[in-house]
Amino acid sequence: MKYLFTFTSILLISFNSYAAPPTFEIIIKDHLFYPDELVIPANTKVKLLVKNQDATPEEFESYELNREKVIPGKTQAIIFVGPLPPGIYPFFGEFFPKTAQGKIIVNDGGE
Amino acid sequence: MLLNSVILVLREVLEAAMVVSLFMAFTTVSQQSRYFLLKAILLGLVAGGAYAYFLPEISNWLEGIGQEITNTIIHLGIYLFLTSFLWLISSNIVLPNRLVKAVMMAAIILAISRESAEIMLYISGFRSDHFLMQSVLSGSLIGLGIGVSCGIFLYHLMIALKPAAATKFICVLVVIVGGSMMSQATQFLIQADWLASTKPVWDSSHIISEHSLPGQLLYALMAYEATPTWSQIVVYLSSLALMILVIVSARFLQGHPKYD
Repeated sequence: MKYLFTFTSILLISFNSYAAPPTFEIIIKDHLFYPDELVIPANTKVKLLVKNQDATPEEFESYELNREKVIPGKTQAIIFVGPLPPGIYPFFGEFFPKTAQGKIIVNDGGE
Repeated sequence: MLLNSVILVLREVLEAAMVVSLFMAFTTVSQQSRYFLLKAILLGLVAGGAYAYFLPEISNWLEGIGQEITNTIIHLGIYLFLTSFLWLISSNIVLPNRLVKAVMMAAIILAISRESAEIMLYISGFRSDHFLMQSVLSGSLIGLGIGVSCGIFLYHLMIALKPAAATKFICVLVVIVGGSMMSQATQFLIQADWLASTKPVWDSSHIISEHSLPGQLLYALMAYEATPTWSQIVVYLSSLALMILVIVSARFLQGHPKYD
């Protein structure tokens, strides 16, 4: 019974990870994005996990990606992006745009 | 930091100022008291404060897409109240009717709550930094001033017209704002992954960039998007069509009184 439970959970977890889009992490620290250049695969939906380690709120914004989301201080947020054609998609922190700048590079893969 | 705050606050204020000035003009044209609009503005600010305060929790709802869904509901709500407003006034139910007042107040409260929440969060981030706080506050005040001035300008533009023409003009602008709300609601649903994200239908960023001043103004006015998706275009056009249909059918029903 115990084995069945373990087996089922492993199966469920693997199904879950199969269905879930790949996750990429971006950290906001001192009003900067780390990394400030993120490479993601083309034509694939990805989940961005943006962790704001500053005490101040920030708004993740991108006109090219059509995304905007307020991330309160010391919290994290998920933002779904794509599927996107290859290209460069800048994003910025609307609350601190002088320093908080970054871009998502969508790669065709293979290279 | 100063210029930054000006732009950020102006962007948020413009949209809400437009809804408020439309309704201000409508009350003036209808020769009614504007007191209830002031009440709605204050209630909107209170709602915005609450939204900003609870945002960390709200963001965690629904596995992290609570913010998108709340914003969708707010935009959808504004659209529905604006549509009800159009239905009422096209059926010749005008001020001081209580329902008309309630619908106008609800739209203003919702419009102000979201925009003001963002401004409050932004400013609150500088609590501990008194040096930056000064320039942020002055920048925000300038932004607020420009936004409110645009609203006042629009207001005077409308009340300068003859009452019948003004009402028509107000209806047209309400339809434009309504479409913009639905387009933004769609955008939030895509961001939350409740609606599939598809390739943009066109890219007009080389004609009017969303980074430019005209792009920003168009965004505030009608949610201009340089790279819209099919779902956004379809929702935008159908919400415009629905509003026009509501106006036409309310007038039609009005013009044909029932005799039974």
